[in-house]
Amino acid sequence: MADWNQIVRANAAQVLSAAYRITGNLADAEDVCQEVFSEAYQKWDKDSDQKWAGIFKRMSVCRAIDLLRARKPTQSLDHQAQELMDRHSSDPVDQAICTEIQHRLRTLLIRLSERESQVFCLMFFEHQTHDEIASGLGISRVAVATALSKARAKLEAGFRMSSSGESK
Amino acid sequence: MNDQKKPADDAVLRDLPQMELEGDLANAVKEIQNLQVPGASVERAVALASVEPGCERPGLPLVQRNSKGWIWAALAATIAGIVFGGLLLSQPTSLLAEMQEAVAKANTIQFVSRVYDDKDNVITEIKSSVLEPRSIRQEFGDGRVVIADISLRRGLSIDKTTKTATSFPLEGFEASAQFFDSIMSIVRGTENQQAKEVDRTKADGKVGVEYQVETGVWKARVTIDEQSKLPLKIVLPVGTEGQRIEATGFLFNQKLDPLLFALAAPDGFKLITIEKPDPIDDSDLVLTHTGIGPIEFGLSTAEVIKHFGEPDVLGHPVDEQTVDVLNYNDRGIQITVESEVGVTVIACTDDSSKFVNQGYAGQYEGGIKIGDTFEKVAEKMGEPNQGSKDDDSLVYNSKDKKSQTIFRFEDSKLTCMRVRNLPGSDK
Repeated sequence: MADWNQIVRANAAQVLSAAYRITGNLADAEDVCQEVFSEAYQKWDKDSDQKWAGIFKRMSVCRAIDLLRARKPTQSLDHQAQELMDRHSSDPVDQAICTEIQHRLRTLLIRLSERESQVFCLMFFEHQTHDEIASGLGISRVAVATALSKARAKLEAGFRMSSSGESK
Repeated sequence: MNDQKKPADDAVLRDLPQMELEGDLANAVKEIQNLQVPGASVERAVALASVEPGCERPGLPLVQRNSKGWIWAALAATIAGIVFGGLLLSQPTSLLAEMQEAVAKANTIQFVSRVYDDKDNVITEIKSSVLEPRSIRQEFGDGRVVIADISLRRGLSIDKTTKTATSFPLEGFEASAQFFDSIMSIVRGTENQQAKEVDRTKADGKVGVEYQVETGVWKARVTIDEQSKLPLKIVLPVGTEGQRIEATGFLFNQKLDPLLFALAAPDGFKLITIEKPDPIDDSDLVLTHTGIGPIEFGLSTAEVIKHFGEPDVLGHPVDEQTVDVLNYNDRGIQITVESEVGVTVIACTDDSSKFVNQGYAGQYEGGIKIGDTFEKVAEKMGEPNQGSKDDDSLVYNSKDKKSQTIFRFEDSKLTCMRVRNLPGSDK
């Protein structure tokens, strides 16, 4: 078991951070982290020399996006209910650091296609190269570039729309 | 996958190095890149993912249960997180707290539960309830097996008598979920939990320490084994006075065959599939002081879900577990339910809110629709009790003030209609 636990110690911070960047919530990130390690453990082959860092980054990003999509954050429609929801859903620490602009990006990310959001997060949050993303997701470099281009265009459009909405 | 390169691909690949973000998008990415997780969280993550000696999977905690081998205490933080929302651990100041601390990390729990009437007769027996991060499996005394897959939001009921397996959507599973929620709350602890040691008693063939544990929602008796620091018995009052559920025979982190949670009909069983009811045409929904469509003021959360399906978000505040707020993003509708009196508030909005996928497509009684002008609404509704064009709102109260309708506007266009209706309103 020592080998597995070494893998965990070497990668836990990275897995947790990757999930935290996407979910913006520590409790959610811990859920993702546990799910990722449980899943990875099932596939762990003691005798093979797997490159865990990249695998974990990809798994963490994918599971965190799944969770973000499942949560579908919503804005409460009346003030009383909003207060109730806010008190329920937000840790003060998370609230302080989760700025509006981050929140907006996360909201827009879940509107992208699965591939676009994964490619974007791996590229810009996890600093993976095109080759690493292509190899990790099992797609071509062209597919990575296309997804990235579409993601950027959609996200920029999303930010432009929300900015113009605010300036009304 | 087609990896054959086309001429246009060259242009795409040439652009790669220039992929730089600008403006708000760049700022948002930069902020997110700079996020750091606290060291304590990383340590907790390591503990959760490590495999302790003698265990067969990650997430196994730290208490040896008996001499037969390593059976580890625990309840699934993941289950609670995924299924029931976040609960906070109490400080370890007693055997109860030690138990809660010990069981906070595990992946599976298994127990036997029986429902007793006020004369100590067993009404229902669930021979085995098994919870793992994604699924719940219950084996009833009459031979039925019910499996619920939370991630797929589907269940399977297997009836060995009729040799049928019925696949169904998970709406309506909330009653069971509440029971599991209570069990989880007890063994993991909650922020507002009050507990006191009341007795030393025998349970599951062992002597343990009995605690009375209560929150504002439930009151339970929990017996804990002093040696293993694991729960021996949990007793929850239910229904009428004297009725109770007793959960015993707790086992944690058992190695479970994934087939136990498969949603496929066993060999030789006839599969019956029940799909969700036909969707309601949202444009037919009319918001009135009686309710909206099939949702009437006074209905319970379960009844709302029965009609509208699972909400995109179901929230309730920490201090007010008796209030549910259900958001239906694709309908632009939010419903507030108080446990004592049922639905009290229905709000319908447009799609300008960045969290609502679609605006409300129906109308308020009298034909008022989202997007109508301030003047049109004011003309149809008459003199308001409060609000004006300057306030971007119109408010109408019933004489007894138990019923209230609020219209909110942006740029003189109706963006939100909200009806609050307390029991006994003269409307």
